Amino acid sequence: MNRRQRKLVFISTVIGVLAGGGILGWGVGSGRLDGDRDEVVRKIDLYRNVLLTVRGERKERPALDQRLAMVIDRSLGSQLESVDSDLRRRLAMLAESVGVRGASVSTVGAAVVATPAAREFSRSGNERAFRDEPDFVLVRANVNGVGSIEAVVRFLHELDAAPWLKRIEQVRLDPDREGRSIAIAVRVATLFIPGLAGDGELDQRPPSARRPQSRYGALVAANPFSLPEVPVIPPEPAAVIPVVPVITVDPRSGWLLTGIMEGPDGTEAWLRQIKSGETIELRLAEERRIGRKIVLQLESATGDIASFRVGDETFRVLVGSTLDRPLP
Amino acid sequence: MARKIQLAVDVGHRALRAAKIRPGRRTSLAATVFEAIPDSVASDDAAAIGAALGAAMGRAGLGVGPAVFALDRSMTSFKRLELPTDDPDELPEMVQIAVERELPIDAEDAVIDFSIIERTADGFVVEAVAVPRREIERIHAIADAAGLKVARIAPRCHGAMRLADPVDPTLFLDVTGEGLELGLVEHGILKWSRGVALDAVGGGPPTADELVPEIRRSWLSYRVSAGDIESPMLLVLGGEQIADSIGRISEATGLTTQRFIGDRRVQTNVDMRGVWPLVGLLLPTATDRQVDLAAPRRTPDRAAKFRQKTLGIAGLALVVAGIGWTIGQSQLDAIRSESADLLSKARVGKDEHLRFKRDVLRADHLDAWASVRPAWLEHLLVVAAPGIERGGTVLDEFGGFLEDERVAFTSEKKFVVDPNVRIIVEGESQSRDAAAEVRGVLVADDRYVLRTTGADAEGGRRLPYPFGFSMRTKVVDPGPVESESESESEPMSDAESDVESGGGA
Repeated sequence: MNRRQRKLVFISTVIGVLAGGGILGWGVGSGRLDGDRDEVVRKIDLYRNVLLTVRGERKERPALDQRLAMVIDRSLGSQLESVDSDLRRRLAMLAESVGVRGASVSTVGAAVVATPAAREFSRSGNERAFRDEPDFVLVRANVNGVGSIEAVVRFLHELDAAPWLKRIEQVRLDPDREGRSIAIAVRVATLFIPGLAGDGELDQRPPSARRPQSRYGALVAANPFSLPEVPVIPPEPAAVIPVVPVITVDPRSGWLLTGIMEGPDGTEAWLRQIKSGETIELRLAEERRIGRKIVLQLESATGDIASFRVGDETFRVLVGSTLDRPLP
Repeated sequence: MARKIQLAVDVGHRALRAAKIRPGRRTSLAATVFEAIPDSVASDDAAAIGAALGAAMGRAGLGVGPAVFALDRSMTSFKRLELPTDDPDELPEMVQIAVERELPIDAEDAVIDFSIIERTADGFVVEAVAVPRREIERIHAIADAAGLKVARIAPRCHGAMRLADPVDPTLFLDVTGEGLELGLVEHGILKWSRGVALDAVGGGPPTADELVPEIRRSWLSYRVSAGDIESPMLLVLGGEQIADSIGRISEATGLTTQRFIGDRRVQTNVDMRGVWPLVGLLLPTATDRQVDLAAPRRTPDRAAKFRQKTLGIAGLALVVAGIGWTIGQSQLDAIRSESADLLSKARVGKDEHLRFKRDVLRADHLDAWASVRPAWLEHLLVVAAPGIERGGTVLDEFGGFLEDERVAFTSEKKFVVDPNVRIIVEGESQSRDAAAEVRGVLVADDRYVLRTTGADAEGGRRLPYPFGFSMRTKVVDPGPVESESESESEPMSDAESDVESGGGA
């Protein structure tokens, strides 16, 4: 290796060492070697992503506000007191206007409904407030009354079509012996968002019937709860009926368990006397005499099965069965 | 950058000479000294000579400082060498070995330096200069006594050489007052030189009668040894007393002779007697062409050189690394600052994002809740239709219950609701067939799961054959699909379609 080559090698080495030193120093100083820079860059990307997300959300905000406004505008108010009052008023007025007689309206205590998506927010920091924030408050009301088939159908139709936000959760139609007069029991739920009131133009909103009421004209005309009018036939002379020995019948065989409902005062078992058509609603632990000797007490009710006590005997009955046919 | 030396001193045996220049675009003489050493000063008393020198310089206003000291040619040995190496670092050792062989004195008693004359394809041509160490020590002693610092020690003839014509061959004659120095210069390179110390009768400066024969002898001896050479011009440097001998010198040497009267590079307005060669030593020249017997070239310590280079490179690398670190740190600081700025904005934005997310979840929850809207009249139509169509059947009770209507949030981040509708029907028929037909129609309806309650037996209140059904369905609205003409648009309907629901027609 001659002098010129040695010089070139030396210069190359010096340049290499200086460049290496510079790059090494730059790498350490800029945090490229120990990961500091990557961490900062990762954070910057994260923050930018947050800001970009927020920017996008700002564009979507009007549409979201409109969605919420659609619900809020259909609610009955922003406070339990006013919602309860308005709900009672509307149900009573509707019952009266359609011809349901003796209507009684009662409201059940309000239930605060939390978001099912609570896990989307952490339990700590400022997210906890969002996690714990309720979505809405449910207010339930029970309406009871008596009316003709037409009144009952109109009540159900117009209640369903009413512009305010609601859901009919339970319905019971219980006709009298002739089927001309039908007892109606309805449970309605409505919701409101605390502190957020609508635009106050709820009463100006048109009803939102899913189908025209005329669709139920045939139902009203046929009245499935009553027997068709039959011509009166003069009674034939009474034949001599031989006297037969009286057979003792279990009074429980005449009572049919027709349903289990969540009533305003808790779980209820609905029973109907098959021959007389008499109905009773038995609440938990409540006793009722059926027949002359039997005192019936409702012990529990779940789903389609109610558990009764008569004296020391406890038995379970399926909905649709008479009380003398307990479940094994 | 080293300070340019402005002072040159020549300490002879009988006279002291010094010149000080003012550096500038054109060199100008500040002051000169030309004094005889007092008779009271012994020639071997360096301290006394130095004191006399200091006094003389003080009188002339030259002051003190680093100085170039000139050596008489007569005290030095010159040797031209051709050295076969391409590494200049090897030259000092090679010169030392080559000159030591020819020195009449021990190598330890001599100081050797050289100047590079030429670099050839095979190596270097150098001019080695050797001088007894005692002369160097004497100069140092004089300088110490005079308060001067020895910056360099060089042959006086090198100063004269730089005054010669740079192109044409020139033979210079420097009459020093203590002898003479002859030198042949070609293309700025001293090809030959000779110095002769002459003492006149009585100890004074040599006369022309004593100088001219010596000049003739010296030139002719060179001429004979050098062979056929181009006749140079003879340039005479000396005092006024030599001016009258120019003709005789020319005649004796057979050369065109002229007296040196000045150099265009140097501006003079002071007495220049005997100091022109000193001025020549102060003129700028390449380092390779300089001889410095005060600090002769040494073979570099390669290991030390390597260490120096390594340390230098390491230090430089450290500095560069530091610069790189600083630049990198500033870049890191910049992105950290950007990160902090974005963080503060993101914190504000996060609250806004959480509010938006919460409101979206609430809106979706509301939509899911509102999507469950049982159509009880439609269920009643389904239940009553068989009896109405066939006749002979009456309903004793109709009960409808909405169950499992709670909204859930799935792992796919969707709100779902899967409601059940339970319907209790009690009725009576005129015949078993009628009751069975009603049940058959309802059983055939795939939307419902029907379970008969009670026994198929007589015992009805209004008709003889009672029946009871418990029906379950996932269909919230069993009616026909709603048409635009039949109903007004439902505000929630769009949203309802977005929600996964187990119910709905």
